[in-house]
Amino acid sequence: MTPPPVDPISPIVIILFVVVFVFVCIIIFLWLFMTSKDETIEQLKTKHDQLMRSFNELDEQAKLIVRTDLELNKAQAELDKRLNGLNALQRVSRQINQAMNEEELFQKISPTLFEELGFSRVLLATLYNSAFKTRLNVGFNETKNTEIIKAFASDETIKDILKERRAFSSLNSSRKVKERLLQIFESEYYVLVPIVGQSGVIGAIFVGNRLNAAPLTQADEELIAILASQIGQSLENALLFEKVFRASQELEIKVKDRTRQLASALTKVEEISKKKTEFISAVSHELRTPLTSIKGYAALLIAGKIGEVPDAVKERLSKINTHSDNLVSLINNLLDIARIESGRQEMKFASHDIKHVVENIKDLLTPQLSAKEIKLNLVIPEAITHIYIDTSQAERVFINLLSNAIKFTPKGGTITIEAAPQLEEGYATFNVTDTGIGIPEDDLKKLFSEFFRVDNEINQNVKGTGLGLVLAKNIVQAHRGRIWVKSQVNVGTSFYFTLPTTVEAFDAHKEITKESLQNA
Amino acid sequence: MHYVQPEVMPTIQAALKPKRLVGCSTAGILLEHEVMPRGLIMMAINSEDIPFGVGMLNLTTDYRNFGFELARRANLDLDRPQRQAALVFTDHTMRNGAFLKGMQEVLGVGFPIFGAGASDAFTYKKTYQFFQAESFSNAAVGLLIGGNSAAAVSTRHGFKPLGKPRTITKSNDHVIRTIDKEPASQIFVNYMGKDAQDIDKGILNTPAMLYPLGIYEEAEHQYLLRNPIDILADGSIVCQGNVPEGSEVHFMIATKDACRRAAIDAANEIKDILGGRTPKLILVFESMARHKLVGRLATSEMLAIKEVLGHQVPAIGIYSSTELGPMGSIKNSKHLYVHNENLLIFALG
Repeated sequence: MTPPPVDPISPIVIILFVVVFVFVCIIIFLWLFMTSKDETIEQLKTKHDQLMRSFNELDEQAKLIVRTDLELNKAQAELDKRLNGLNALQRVSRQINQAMNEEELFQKISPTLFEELGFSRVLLATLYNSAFKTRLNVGFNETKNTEIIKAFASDETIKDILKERRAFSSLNSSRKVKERLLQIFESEYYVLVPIVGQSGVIGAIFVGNRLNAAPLTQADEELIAILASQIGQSLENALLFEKVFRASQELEIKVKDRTRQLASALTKVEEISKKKTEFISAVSHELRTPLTSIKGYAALLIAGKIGEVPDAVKERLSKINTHSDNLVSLINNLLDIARIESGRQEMKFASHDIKHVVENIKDLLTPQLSAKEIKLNLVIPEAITHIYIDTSQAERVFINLLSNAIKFTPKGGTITIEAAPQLEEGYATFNVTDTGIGIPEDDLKKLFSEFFRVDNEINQNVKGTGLGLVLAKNIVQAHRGRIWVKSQVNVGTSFYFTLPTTVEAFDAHKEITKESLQNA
Repeated sequence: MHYVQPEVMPTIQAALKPKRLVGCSTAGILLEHEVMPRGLIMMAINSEDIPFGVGMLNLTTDYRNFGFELARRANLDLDRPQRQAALVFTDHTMRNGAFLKGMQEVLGVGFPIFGAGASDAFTYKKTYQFFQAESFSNAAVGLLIGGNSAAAVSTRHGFKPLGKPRTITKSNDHVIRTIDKEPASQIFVNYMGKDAQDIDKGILNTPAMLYPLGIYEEAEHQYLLRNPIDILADGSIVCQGNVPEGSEVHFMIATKDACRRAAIDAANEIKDILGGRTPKLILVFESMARHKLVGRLATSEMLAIKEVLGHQVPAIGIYSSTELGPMGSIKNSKHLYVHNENLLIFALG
């Protein structure tokens, strides 16, 4: 028997069931998917917002960094400006301090200084005869410059600023002052400082920049104030220096005038001296002839060739003879001096062995030295062998000095003739030193004057003309040498003189002439 | 010198009788121990082994052809085939780097081309270019250096980006109109606050000069700096170099020490390129805007360069309005740029 057929599930039902199942699954999947996507989007959105917030926060931090950096940069720039300004100021101060006059001072204030300080406009004016005068102008044309100079004298705002004697700048001025100064100087940023000297305001300095330029800082104001003060001091110094310099120039002119007058007077003195010399020469000549006759007649009378004369008369005649000899000696000295002074004395220069010259003199004076038991030392170094002299004249110098030394040196004393190493190029220095009574200091200056004789006991007892040293001086000068004396009372006296050692030295040795005096 | 006296160039010509002479005006002269705001500096080269070719051209706005023609003229003047480097001095208004591409078309893509934009007394108004016995404005002069010497060029700036990146949303040539759809100058207000309040009166003497804008160069992974030189009434920033629209832009910052480090890095790179050869001469072109940042330490960069390359090597530097050359060295980058705020070193070894 065939089982009863089971009622099969309709395939349609199965298909329907599957479709419904799949549909439900899709719905569930879609629901799940959509839910997850929203969550991701939400998460991404959150992340994005976080990132944006971080970005914005970083940007805000960046703003803070920039503002801090700006502050630091500004501080640094201010510091740099001060340092640069101080450097520039120190440089210009050094230069203007060396200025000798007003013109030079302002030449040394270069426009580049202000450029370095960051200013494009400068006007520096000083008071000159109660009116302002432009000393430095940078950035203003001629018309504007004239306008500003007029304003310095007449504008009430500027007058008030000058009166206050302090720096006015765009940082510290009142609105009214700012507006007025902008009008006058056409500069938004500025410093205006009076230049003050001891006498008050002596000028003013304006520095500034046009519109849209870098703003001014406190450092600028301080630097310009220091510069103004420095200019004021240097200006006063320069004016003072100028005054001193002018006075010194006037003095120099006066000295030159006086020197010229002296040279002229010297010429006159020389002329008079020449006339005097000629007069002495003429008179001496005229005196010598009758003196020779007087001496001749006196000698005849003493010798008894005209007849015997009583002893008393002889004695008087002898005195006449002695005094006549003194007079002849005096006249001869005068004539020699006159001849040397006038240049009429012919000098016969030649090179002579120094030792030979000195030994001759020693021989000549040995009797006198022996009579007073005076020791004569000769110190002639090997280095000096010859002297270039007129031997007959030069010997008179030695003889004169040595005779004087003998005269004033006590018995048993010492006299030294010493030739020193060359003090002057090509010249030998001699000294004749005694251990005599010495010469008072006051008399030393007059020693080489004509007819001067030191007032002492010896001179009172021993006759002399007072011309020996004058003659010696003239002879030394004729050799283009010098003579001088050092003495100490009761110790001794040293006479120094120089004589040439070679013809070259003599030729090269400049005489003290009238021209050289004028040139001096 | 940032000015020119009519008699200067003829006098130099008469005194030295140079075969080739090129030069430009500058805001200052940079020496090892001194920065001179006024003066004249010359480097004279007397060598049979180093031939030169020169060219001069008045500026045109067809930048690429302009560069091509300038290079062609200098090349024609060079009487030997070996070429080592090309130096170019342009007027400060030449802000578009396309002319350097034009030069590369003549001289080759990997060829070291370097130079500087002439400068004045930091006003960006009038500059001069010197060519033989004459001086010009709105022109460029080129000097092609021949021979077998090794030439090395390196540029560095030392600035780092600060804050979030922004986008130049509108610009024309060298003017940034908007950044992130705001007037461009707002970027300075945002970062500098009250210190930026007067920049529209004139930006050159404001602290804004310390913070150039950096445009991210994808190809170089570096920042090309742009100096703001003016702010227009609508808040647009006038830059000393072209600024492509859509560029990522950053506010940039540096320290004095970073500037000195950059100089040392550039000098070391020069040393590497020369590979042990002693430099015969060094030329340094430094942005005059950079001088604002380094201030009194201006000579420290030159001193650092000479410490690396040798104190005995003749070296002169000038302050420039732009620096022309690769980003880094030509070894690493074949692209040439009009840089701002950079320090460029050239050495011939």
